[in-house]
Amino acid sequence: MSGAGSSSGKAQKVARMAGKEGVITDRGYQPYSGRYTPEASRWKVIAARMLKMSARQWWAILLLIATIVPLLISAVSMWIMSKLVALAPPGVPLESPDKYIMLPAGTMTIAFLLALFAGAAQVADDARAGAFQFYFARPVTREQYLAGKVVPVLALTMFVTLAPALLLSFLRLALLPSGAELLHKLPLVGATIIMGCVEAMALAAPAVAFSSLSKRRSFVQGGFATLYLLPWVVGAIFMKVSRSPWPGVLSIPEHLENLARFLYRMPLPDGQRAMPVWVSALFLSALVAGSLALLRKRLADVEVVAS
Amino acid sequence: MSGAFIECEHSAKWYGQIIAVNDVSLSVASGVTGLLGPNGAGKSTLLKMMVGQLRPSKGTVKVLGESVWGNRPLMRRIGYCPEHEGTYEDLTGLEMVTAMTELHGFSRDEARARAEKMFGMVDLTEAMNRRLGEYSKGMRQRAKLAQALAHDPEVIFLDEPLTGCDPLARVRILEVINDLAARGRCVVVSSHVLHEIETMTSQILLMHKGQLRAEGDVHQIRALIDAHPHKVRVECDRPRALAERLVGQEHVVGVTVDGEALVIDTRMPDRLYPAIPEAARASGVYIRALTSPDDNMAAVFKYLTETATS
Repeated sequence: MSGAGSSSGKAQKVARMAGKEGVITDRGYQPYSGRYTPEASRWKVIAARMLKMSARQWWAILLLIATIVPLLISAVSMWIMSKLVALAPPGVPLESPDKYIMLPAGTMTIAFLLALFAGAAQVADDARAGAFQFYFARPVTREQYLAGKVVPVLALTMFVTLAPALLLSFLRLALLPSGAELLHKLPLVGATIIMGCVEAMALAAPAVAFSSLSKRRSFVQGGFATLYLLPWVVGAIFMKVSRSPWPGVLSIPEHLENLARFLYRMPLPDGQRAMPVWVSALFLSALVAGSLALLRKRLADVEVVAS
Repeated sequence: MSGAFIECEHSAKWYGQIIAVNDVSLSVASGVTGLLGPNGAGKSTLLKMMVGQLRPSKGTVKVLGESVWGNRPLMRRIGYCPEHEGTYEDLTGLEMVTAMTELHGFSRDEARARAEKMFGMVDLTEAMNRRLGEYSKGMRQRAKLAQALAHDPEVIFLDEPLTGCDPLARVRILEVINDLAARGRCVVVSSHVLHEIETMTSQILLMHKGQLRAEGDVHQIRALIDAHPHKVRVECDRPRALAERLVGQEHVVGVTVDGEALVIDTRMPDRLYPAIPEAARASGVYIRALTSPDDNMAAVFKYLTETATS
């Protein structure tokens, strides 16, 4: 008995010791065994957050609401003009109601302001605040980051450049008196979509590209506003004086209008001359491509130094 | 795994003529390791090289056996809490941590669940739906810690995580760090505040002027420093009597009477410690306390940086 008791006590002692010292606790890392989202979709996460943040800004809300004003003015003007065209005897020169779809009055200014406020903040704010440290400590490529930054500005700008024009083009089709005319005017919708997208890209891409050039938002906004406004204003003055379209060769609004006239087949006012449309197409393509290339270069293999 | 979570071999980083990190070779195992050094020592630069945000100008930096620069899959296994804020003031804490976790490849639901769990872990659940702009410094630090841990990384880098924290936040962050170490994670904590590191670990990497001055256990490092005698402070009723007994011994290089204490300088502490009670018994001195005031990080830090400067 005593032997058994001694043996049992020894076993208990060993067990106690094992409990204290001998048990190997697995502290090993247990990697996540679930599925990861596709790497190519990372930009959507950044874009969604950027859109959410922009949508909370007073200027975004104000500008988006302000889009209703040019939409209403253009819609009413187009309705009146459509009635006049229908009532007027043949041969009476009247402006086409299509002109109200082409760059509805004021929308380009609102789109410019949205690009200015939303676009200029994108990379500059991240650079200033040191947000790269968070993004690039994750499996996120520079391209995904850029897409996540450009797309929200593009979406906001496109809301202003595309939505009102598209609504107006539908209204225009609805006001047509016959099915034959409706079929004839159907390309208006395509032209509106192309124009809305081109306009948004021509504003959003340089705005975001500018934001990669400095940490200070005011510098970025000043730079983009200068790029947009200076050639436009100076160009308009010299175009009036010289009666030539070429002084406006560096003006973004001038090229957008030139392209819009081509797409909507709108004639120029009497006595005015326009640049060839290929020049505008080339300028706008170069502007967008150059902006994206600049962004890519600024962020390619960027090292994240402390801000 | 060989045991080393992080390995640097002759790593250097320079910007033009300025050398931020100079020929650093080290290895870091699991548990908490303190990256110490005064401001401008190169800690943050080294940390950024370790998290793949800076490309080494020379040498290699490996985490979990893989080169870290440009290694995106490895980022899933690394957590990084930067020193600088870099957070969006208009997002809520939960939105920010969820988005950052989504960027690791988790679905929105999974990311949100993980973010909520992390806010619980850092005691910030009640504030997680508030805007980051309304957070105090301590709350921001905890939110940053949450975003670094939400994807459950194996290796965690924390750059000055206690800066600006109130005592409660400090305690909570220390608990989280100790818990991570207890679960076998490798945690590298950078700080220029010595006692902060001392409360977390005795394993240190000591940087000064871009160079790694020491690596290992702080007490072992201290023992290896022969240039400076160790100090042993004996609080007793008759320090002068004890001094008389000890001053003749060859391992004692100096004694100082400091009020009711005797401070002994020695180059051989192993031989001094047994000699003190013997001397006290022989001289009838009553010892109240015996401490080693320079067997701590502050002293090691001071000695090593002074050596580097001289």
